[in-house]
Order: sequence, then C-alpha cells, then structure tokens
Amino acid sequence: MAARGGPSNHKIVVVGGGGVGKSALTIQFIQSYFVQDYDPTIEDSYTKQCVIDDIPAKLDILDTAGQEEFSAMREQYMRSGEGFLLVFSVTERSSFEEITRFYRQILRVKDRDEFPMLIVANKADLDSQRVVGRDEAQNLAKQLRIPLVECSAKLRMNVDQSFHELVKIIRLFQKMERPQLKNSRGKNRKRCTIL
Amino acid sequence: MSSSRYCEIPRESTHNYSKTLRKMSCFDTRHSNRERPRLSKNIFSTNSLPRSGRHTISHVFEVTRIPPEEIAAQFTLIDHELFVKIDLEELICCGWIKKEKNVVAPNVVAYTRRFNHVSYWIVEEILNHESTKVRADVISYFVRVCKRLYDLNNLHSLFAVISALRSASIYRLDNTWSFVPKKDKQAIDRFADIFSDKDNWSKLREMMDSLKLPCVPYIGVYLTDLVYLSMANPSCDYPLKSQLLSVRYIDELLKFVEDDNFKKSLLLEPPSAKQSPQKFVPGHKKNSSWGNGSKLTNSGPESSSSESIRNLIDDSLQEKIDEVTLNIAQLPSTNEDSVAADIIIEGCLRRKTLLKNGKKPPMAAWQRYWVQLWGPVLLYYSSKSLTGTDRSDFKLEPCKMKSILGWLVQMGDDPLHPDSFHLADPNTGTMYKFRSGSTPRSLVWCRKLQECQKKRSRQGNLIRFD
Repeated sequence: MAARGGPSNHKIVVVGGGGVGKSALTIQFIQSYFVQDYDPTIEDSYTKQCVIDDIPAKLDILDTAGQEEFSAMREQYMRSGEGFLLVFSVTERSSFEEITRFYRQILRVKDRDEFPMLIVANKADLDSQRVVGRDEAQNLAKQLRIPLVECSAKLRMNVDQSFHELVKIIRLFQKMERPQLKNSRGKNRKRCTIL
Repeated sequence: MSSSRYCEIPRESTHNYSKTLRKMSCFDTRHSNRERPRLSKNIFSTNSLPRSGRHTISHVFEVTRIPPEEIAAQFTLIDHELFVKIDLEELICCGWIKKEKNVVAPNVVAYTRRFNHVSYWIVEEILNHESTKVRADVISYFVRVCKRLYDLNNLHSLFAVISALRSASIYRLDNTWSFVPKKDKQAIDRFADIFSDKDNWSKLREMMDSLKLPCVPYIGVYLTDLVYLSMANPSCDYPLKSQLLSVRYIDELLKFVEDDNFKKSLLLEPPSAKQSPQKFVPGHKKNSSWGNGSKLTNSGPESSSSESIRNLIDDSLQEKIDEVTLNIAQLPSTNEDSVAADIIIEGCLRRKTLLKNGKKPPMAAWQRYWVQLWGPVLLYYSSKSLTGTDRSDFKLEPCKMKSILGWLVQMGDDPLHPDSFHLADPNTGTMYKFRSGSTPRSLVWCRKLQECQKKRSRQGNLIRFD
C-alpha cells in the first residue's frame, strides 16, 4: 500500500470564462498568502506539493487566465490535463452557462464519456450579487454527474478543498482504469492454475 | 486557372496583397463540394465575396497551390499590422478580461481574434477534403507553412497553425494521420513542444528570450502573467504613490513647517554653542515660565518631544543638566509647532450644519468630506465620487480651512446615529454634526479634537498670563 502511495504528479487544468476568478483561486491555492515580489514567470509558479489522504502529491496547475479569448488553443492544452476544475462565478450567469460547453469540450478532447472534473461555484461570498442559485448549480452538477463545490477565493473558503477533492477524483479514476488490466490478468492466471 | 490568379498576387503592392489575403482567409473555402456541413458558420463568412462567384473562386483559392512561404509571409504581414496597434494601456489595465474589452482593449481582442480565425480556417481547410490522402496533404502543407512561420519568428500564427493541427477535430483523424509522413508528424511535435505549457511555458519563454528580433510574439503567456501580477499585487505601486502624493504643504503654513523643521534639526543635533538655540526660538523665555516637569509629561505624547529628550540624554549628561531648563522651555513650543505641521487625525466624515450663526439653516444636508485635523485647523477636502470613503475618492486640494480654536467638542447622543459627534463654536453660534461611520472612530475624533483644544487653551492661558 505504501509503495503504491508514493508521490504522484497530477496535472490539473483550471477552465472557466473570463473574470470568474480562476487566477484568484489558483493563486490562493498555490501561494496561500500574497507575497510582495511575486513572479508569475518562474518555472514552478504553478506547482504545489501537498499531502492528500496521507499520500503526497505534486500538483501541476495550468490556469490560462487571461488567455480565455484564445479559444483555438484551448483543446491543445486540455489534452494534457488529468483533471479539470470547471470554474464559474455565481454572480455571472453567462459563466455558468459556459460550464456545459467546457464539459463537452473536455470529453471530446479526451474522447471519453467521463473524466475527472469538479465544478467550482466561485464568489460564493457575494451573496447579494448572486444570480446562479445553489439548487440550479446542484442540478447541473447532478445532470453532468460531477461534484460541485461552493467556494470563495477571496475569503479562501473551500479553495484547498476544491483542489484536494479533484485529486481524490483523479486518483479514483486512475485506479478504476488500472485495476481493470490487473484483474483481467489475475483472472487469466487463476484460470491457468485451474486448468 | 488558379495559378494564373495566384501569379497576379505578387504584382500587387504589399498593402493590397495583405488585404487580399485577409479576404482570402475569410473565404468560403468549401470548394469542389456541394453538401459539406458548415463547420464554422460565423467565423468564415462569405460576405467578402459574392456567392455567385463561389465556383470560380473555389478553383482560384486552392490553398495548397500557394507556396507555403507566401502564406507564411502574408500571415506575418497581417499579424504584424495588428500587433503593432496594441497599446500599452490596454495591457496595463488588463482590459481584455473585462466585459467592455472591445472598448478598452480593442487591439488585443483583434489580435486574439486573428489567432482564432487562422486556426479555425486551417481546421476547416483540412476538413473540406473528403479524401483521406488529400487531407493528409493539406496537413503536410501546413507543416511547411509552420516551418516558414518559424523562420519568420511569427510565433503568433505558428501557434495558431499548431493549435489547428492539434485541435480535437483534426487530432482524432487517425486515418488521415496515417498518411502524413513521419517527418511531418515529428515536426509538428517539435513545434508543439515550443508551446508546451510544461514548467510554466518555459520553452516559449526561453525562445522569446533568445530569438533575434524582429518577431511576432504569441502574447497569451504575457496576458496570463499580467493577470496574475495584477491579482497578486492588486495595486503594486499604489501605497508608495499615495504616500508621495500625500506629501504636500499648504503655502500659508509653510513658514511653520520651516520653523518646525529647523527646530527638529536643532533638537536632533544641538548646536555646540549653548546660546544659539535661544536666537532661533525668540520668546522661549516666556514659555519657560509655563514649563514644568509635570506638564512636560502630560503634554509629551508626540514622539518628537520624547525623542528629543532621549537624544539630549544621549549627547552628554553634563549638557542635559546645563540645559534642562532650556529644553523644558523649548518643548512646549516644539510640541505646538509639530502639531501644526503634522496631521493629527484624518478620515472620511459626513457633516451636517445644525446651526449657522445662531440660526437653523433652511436646508441642511449631509456632506461628505475628507477631513484632516492639522494643528488647530480642520481641513476639508470635497469628494470626487459619490460613495467612496478612501483618500483617493477626495480632491487633493482642500476646499475649506477652519480654525477650531475655542470650539466645543461633544459626542452625539442620537441613538439613531451612534457614530455622531458635535462641534460647536460658542462665539458665533455655529454647530456642526459629524458622522464618521463608527462609534470608536468618532470617539477617537472627539478625543483628538479635545486634546488639541486643551493644548491651545494652555497656550491661550500663557498669553493672557503674560
């Protein structure tokens, strides 16, 4: 068990429309506090090591905040992602409506029926400006069969949880994929012994 | 036929040529085909050309018949034209992520759109062919275009082409890819590697650092950097800027500042001749009658006074004993002047006139001001915005200046406005009501106003005493 639980690298891609607070979410997770001489250009600006379920993990986060308009390059970077955070702002309906589009695009790029994803309803602190209701978001999450986390990057509420939850989903997904081979091999072997 | 049309192109001037290609890139390229599904209806409209001409044009515009270096050159001309239009201001304010991006950052948006247009056009161009072999040829053709773009340092279009070749619609065409030569596939991988997001786009950054200009850059990475910078440092230069802006003096008070500075200087490093300070502080002997130990401790909350004692002690014990009367005598006046030079308290206050010259004003409304207590003087700065409560929401120059000597300060007793306090001038019968927004803040205001009254009344006594 311990051997299997060695440090694992996970590539997480943060997607969402412009102005939903992707960069705030990422920066809150990576920096956890704001440093004065922050440099976004250095190599490990977007990597973080953390321990999730007692297993260490190195997270490589790709957030293309600011490049949302370059829609043609989106599919290319989606291809490398192992898990996706679909971020929308509860104060902006259009960003919520985009979630389904991102969801479909990811499945299309990955050529699968399901893939590790998590919907993040950001700016949950701005209750008075909220236009996307909790039920509505829950319904969509249920419909797409991916979990939903209400979060506030500003208040640092559920920021770590979102990323950690996604890593758990990625692990589960990868585990489901791998043992299939293992099991089949095991079955074969068993049969051999019977024979 | 198509080549004859193509041959015409180079004869045109560069300007027209680029125009032509821009039109070309907007062509309806669904040539030699009748019932092909429309893949991107909006992006490549046929508006630029009459529909009736489609048949002939489709033959004219067979992309693979154009030498790749020409396509690459024309891409670069168009990109360059759009790139140089991008304004610094658009980038600094992160305008392209705002809702009004078309207004505040039109050129960044246009440049980005160009990227998407090139990319989607290429996807469409490949998918327009039903034959697997031809599709593979078109892919190979665009690999050659990539090489030219790379030579021209046009990373913008290079990435657009690579994005097209790596898009889901093209990437999944396994049969087509089986016809693409291995060499071309490797070339695509190599180019795609430049734009890998691995290690925070390190390959692209390295390349940008090392390449020889001129180039047409892919700006996406920089846009992300800018967004992150503005996020991590919400106003990176603001504290310093506001501090520098706040250093300003009112001309009428400059002489006090000057005197005060000189006194401070004397206190920090007392002159060697003991007589000289007396010259610089005329009339301090009058003050000496007032000065005594107990009052010194009471009236010495200002750092300047306590520091001055410390400095003097540090100098030498002998000197301290010699000058003790002198220093004590000097302190009250120093205190007074530093009060005059420094802002004791400032903040956003709302003011309403309750009484003016003993009469209730016919109209009384709450006015918002930035108020500074500058010695015994209240400085009012009128507001620039409707709601803001920061210093930056108010004008830099004061609109009113009122001495509050002899005024009475009192906390308000209005239960509806627990944050209110009153300031009244018993001599003229004028009374103002202030609200600071919170009770503790009002209490601080009251205390500071009262303290300043006390200090002044002490001086007043002194004068009368003399």
